[in-house]
Amino acid sequence: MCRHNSHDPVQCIIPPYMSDKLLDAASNARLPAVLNNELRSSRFRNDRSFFGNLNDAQRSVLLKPAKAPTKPVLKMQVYDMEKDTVLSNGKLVWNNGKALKTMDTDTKNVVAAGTATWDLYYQIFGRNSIDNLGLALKHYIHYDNKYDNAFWDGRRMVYGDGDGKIFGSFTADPDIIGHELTHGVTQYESNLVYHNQSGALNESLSDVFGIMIKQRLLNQDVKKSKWLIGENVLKGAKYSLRSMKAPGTAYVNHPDLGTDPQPATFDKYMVLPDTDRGDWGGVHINSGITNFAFYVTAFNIGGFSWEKAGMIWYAAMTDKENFQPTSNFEDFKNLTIQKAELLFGSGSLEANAVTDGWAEAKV
Amino acid sequence: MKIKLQRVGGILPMTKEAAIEVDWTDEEIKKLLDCICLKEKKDSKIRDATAHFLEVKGKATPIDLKKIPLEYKAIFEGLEADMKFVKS
Ligand SMILES: [Zn+2]
Repeated sequence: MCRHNSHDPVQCIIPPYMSDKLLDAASNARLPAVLNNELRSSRFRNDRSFFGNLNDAQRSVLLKPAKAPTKPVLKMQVYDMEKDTVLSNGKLVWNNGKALKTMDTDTKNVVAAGTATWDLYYQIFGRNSIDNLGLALKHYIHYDNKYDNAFWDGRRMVYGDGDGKIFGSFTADPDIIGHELTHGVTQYESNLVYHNQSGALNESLSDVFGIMIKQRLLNQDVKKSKWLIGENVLKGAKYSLRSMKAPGTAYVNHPDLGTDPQPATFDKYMVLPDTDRGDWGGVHINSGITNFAFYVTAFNIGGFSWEKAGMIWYAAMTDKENFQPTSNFEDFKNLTIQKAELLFGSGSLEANAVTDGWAEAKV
Repeated sequence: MKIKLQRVGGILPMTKEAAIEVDWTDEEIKKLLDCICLKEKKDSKIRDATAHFLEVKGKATPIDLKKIPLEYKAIFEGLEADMKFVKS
């Protein structure tokens, strides 16, 4: 029973939604207006009395504030492997903005580049992290002893310290960190098969977004950028892992590595075995061709690469209907031209730049 | 006999290798390979990964370095430390 004059909210057991129903019923029954009005007034007095007497705790339960649309926020963790190779043994050293121990150079590197990567994808392309659903970025640093590599394991980024002679730490270049994170983006989008041409496209997209992450972090336009991937990771001022501007020149006559084998044009495409040893058909080799197409496109458009060329590449790489796991160079060429025409108009400077980029790469 | 440890792949896909003479019997080698050979298929989502092979009498077997038995650890750690790049 509801004691209408009660000031005790617990005892006033007719909640507002029920008095709403009573009011509806009264209206439907065509009660005399005077009775209907009395019921309404009684309901108003009781609601006011009920809500007016709630304490803060009761009010917070019953009157939940309307939820504002949540803005995506970066979630990121850094784990120190301390030379171990079992990822579950990594120790959490940085968690969502909070350092749990003094930050070393590698922690600072992955935090800065991880943030720059998340920012590029969100601020420029409107993407919420790797999966577009806010996946936390997890970096594992100091993996193994003198490990000279970095990789994406399907869920996380893993970085070695390098041997200290030929290679420095694999966290030393933001483009490498952006490269690994972009493997995640590709996995959640086209999921390009990691063999032959589709594999080379997979690798190239990681380099393309990796270089944009570095250029934006360093505020470099297409002319200022050297278009080098891993210029700090590979020691020596004249060496880097890859050159997008001039594939095949990242390292020449290196005393330990020899000469960069990347082709810049499709007529030099290297047919390699689709095995571990053959780099799965040269996925890191033939990526030079599509890297070069992006470089020429971005350079001819001018300004900052991510503003137009990057927008075109992103639109193509996230077109799940037309960009398939087995798409090849020709498919991606056609898709980027189509996206450029859609975004900037047929015959626009941007659409022509994309066509010219692919023509320069002889695709 | 000579055994050769090789590492292939990576974000810069290069081959590294180191060899050493051992006096292991054929049976011992077979037992070791049975223990360390990579049986399960690698996760297809891994990118820029490296892989190891052990070459014995010209035959290369994919191996998991984490499975090296304790008594062979020192030899394999030495081989890993000695690995040199094969120039491209
Ligand atoms: Zn890669």
